Amino acid sequence: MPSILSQALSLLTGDESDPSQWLKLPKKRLLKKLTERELINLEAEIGATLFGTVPKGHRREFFCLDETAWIWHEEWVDEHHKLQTLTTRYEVQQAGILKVQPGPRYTYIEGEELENFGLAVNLYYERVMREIYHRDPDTGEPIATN
Amino acid sequence: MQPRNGDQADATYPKWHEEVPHGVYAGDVQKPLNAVNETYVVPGATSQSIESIGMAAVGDGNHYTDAYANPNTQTFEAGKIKVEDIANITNNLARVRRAELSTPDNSGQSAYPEAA
Repeated sequence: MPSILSQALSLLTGDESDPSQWLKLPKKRLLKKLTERELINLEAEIGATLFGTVPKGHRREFFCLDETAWIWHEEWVDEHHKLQTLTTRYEVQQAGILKVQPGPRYTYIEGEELENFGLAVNLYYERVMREIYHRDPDTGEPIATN
Repeated sequence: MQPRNGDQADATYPKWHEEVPHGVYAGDVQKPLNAVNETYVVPGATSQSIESIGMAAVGDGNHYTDAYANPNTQTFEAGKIKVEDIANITNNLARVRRAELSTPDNSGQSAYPEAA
């Protein structure tokens, strides 16, 4: 016999199916609702904070684009009140990290530049894994969240 | 607002050009991964920052850590960064991101305009 709640819900919704089937809360995690682009946006917010205070009027993004590339993007308004942009793409290749800038200019980064890029990638990975994906950066396993 | 050159692939992302305060002189931009005069410090860092590339790392010159005082935080040693490690991290990130997706972005559009 249907419960009083079931009957009331049927009256309210006009749906006579078992409400226990559609009243269940989805068990999907929050991130399941996001698209790849939205996830990248979240990551980019963290990436932008890795390098200290962004100068006033600047917009900075730094994020992992895909399995092979990272993006640095910066926008600012110059002294002529004109919007300027600079996008740098870092391609992870077997031979090294290829920096691609408009022009186009292609150079493999090395020395301190490579060192700092590697550090930034590590910091990004640590924070993104913990703060967005709630996973242990070392093991990739989910970590408990409060 | 009309997309700028290079943004035609996706006029909706990002919307930076709507957020930058026009008419404000912001000074010179930092050229990423090139030497700059300023030193940036990751917020929360307690150790000396290093001057770099427009991207800064934190540390005492030998060891680097992230800005979060997390006891589980990994510490990175200077001079130990390898391209192979970067490749592994990049691959891991992309894999984890894919695993989180329920609706893959299969629009056929690049998530970001090409740099060149």
